[in-house]
Amino acid sequence: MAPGLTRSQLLSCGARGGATLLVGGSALGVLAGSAQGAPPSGAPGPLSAADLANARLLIGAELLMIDFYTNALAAKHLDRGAQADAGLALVNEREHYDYLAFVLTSAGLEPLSAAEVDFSYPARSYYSAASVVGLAVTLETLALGTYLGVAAAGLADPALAGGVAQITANEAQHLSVFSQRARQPAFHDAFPAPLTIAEASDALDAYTS
Amino acid sequence: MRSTHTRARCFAAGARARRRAAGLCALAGALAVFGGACTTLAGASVTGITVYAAASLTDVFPAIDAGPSYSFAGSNTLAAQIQLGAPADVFASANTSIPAALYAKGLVEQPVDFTRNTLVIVVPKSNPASVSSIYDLTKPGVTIDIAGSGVPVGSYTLAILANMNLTRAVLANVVSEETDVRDVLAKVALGQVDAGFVYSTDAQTVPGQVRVIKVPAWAQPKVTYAMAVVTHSPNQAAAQAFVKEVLGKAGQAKLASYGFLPLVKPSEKVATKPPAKHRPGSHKTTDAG
Repeated sequence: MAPGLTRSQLLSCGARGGATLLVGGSALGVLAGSAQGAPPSGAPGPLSAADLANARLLIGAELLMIDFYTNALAAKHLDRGAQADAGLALVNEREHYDYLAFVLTSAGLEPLSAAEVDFSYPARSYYSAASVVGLAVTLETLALGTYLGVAAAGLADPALAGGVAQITANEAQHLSVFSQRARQPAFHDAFPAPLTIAEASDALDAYTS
Repeated sequence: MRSTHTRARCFAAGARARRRAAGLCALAGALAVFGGACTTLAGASVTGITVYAAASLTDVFPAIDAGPSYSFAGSNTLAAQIQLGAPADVFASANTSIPAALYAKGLVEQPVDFTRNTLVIVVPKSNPASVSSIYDLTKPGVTIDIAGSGVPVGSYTLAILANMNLTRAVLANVVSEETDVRDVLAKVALGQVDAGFVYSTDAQTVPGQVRVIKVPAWAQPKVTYAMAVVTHSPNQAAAQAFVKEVLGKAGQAKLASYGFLPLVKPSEKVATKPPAKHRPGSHKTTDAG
């Protein structure tokens, strides 16, 4: 993080450039609630078919993350600190979903809801703190890769691109925190790998139907 | 149109029902023989009515009740026939919009939703085009069969492609359009095309003949089935009884056993500890976690 750069300044960079924030966000090592940043105000302009498809894909990813953190909290295997992190991550994921749902409803479309998706996880995923944290790392890696893939593919609408960049940064924070809890380096990856849309979709298929 | 249940079969069902319900159903059986509608007692079948139902219900509806005479076809085809005065008593569609349109015209009573479904991709068992994902359908040379856009499954297919921004790329490989989902399934099973879009419930009817490839959950349209009693039906009571039977516990269980989804997703709870193990020789169970 650059000397003298405040957290709010850092977050405000998200709308202009997600890549910078990715690294900075990871370095924070803690999860914030949602008070310091806000998604782009107002609805995006008329969206292309590609942008709408990407928003749908990201909604699928967010629904998975919400379901995961809900289950992780309910399992009550995490220690106090990790439980708090999971709670904050859940708040973040819900806010991401709300933003993306707003994007779709603004386009006159109905966003996918959790009631329409069946979620499944590998056996024993919620049996222990270690398994929950391990799955958090796996799913946050998937979420980050999905957002990076969407960003790499290019979003035509600037407002949507800004919002996606902000969320990407936040997902990187989640990954960093849970990587540390899994005793992995918090920022070992200078260039996290983006997933192609097809790769991200196939990866989501492993957990959703 | 595919009609798997003839009027003679309906009469036979009436006869079976008479045997089951003995004296109480004698009157009902007589009504069936003379072509009138009846509802039998004690959970027995509804007879003497004609049910027009979406092709995807071909297997499950007779399993719910063998009594009615059934005509299975694309929902749009059936709706067109009802508009022309076809002698249907109940209409069951693979979507909600077609029954709603008939209701708006006064041709059916208020429709009710009764089940849900999802779409999958099916490929021949040999999978000659090596399709493993929906994205493979965009490859040049892959031949795809879909239902026509007027058929619910056809419109759902187009919705999926639009949801994934694959419309142009996939439609470029479509070589045939069918009038109902079972025709799409048949062509894939016979290896006449490389892939097709069908309901997951249809794919289950030809085990060993096709491979099933998931359509991503995030791109699935809402596939809700609705049914209604036909307004001009002379057999209103029996038609209502059939609708009630499908909505009832046994009807819903039968739909589930054929792979259809309940209208409301049951709550899911993940396991947070290993299942308790039973120790031989002990009546106690132990929690290994």
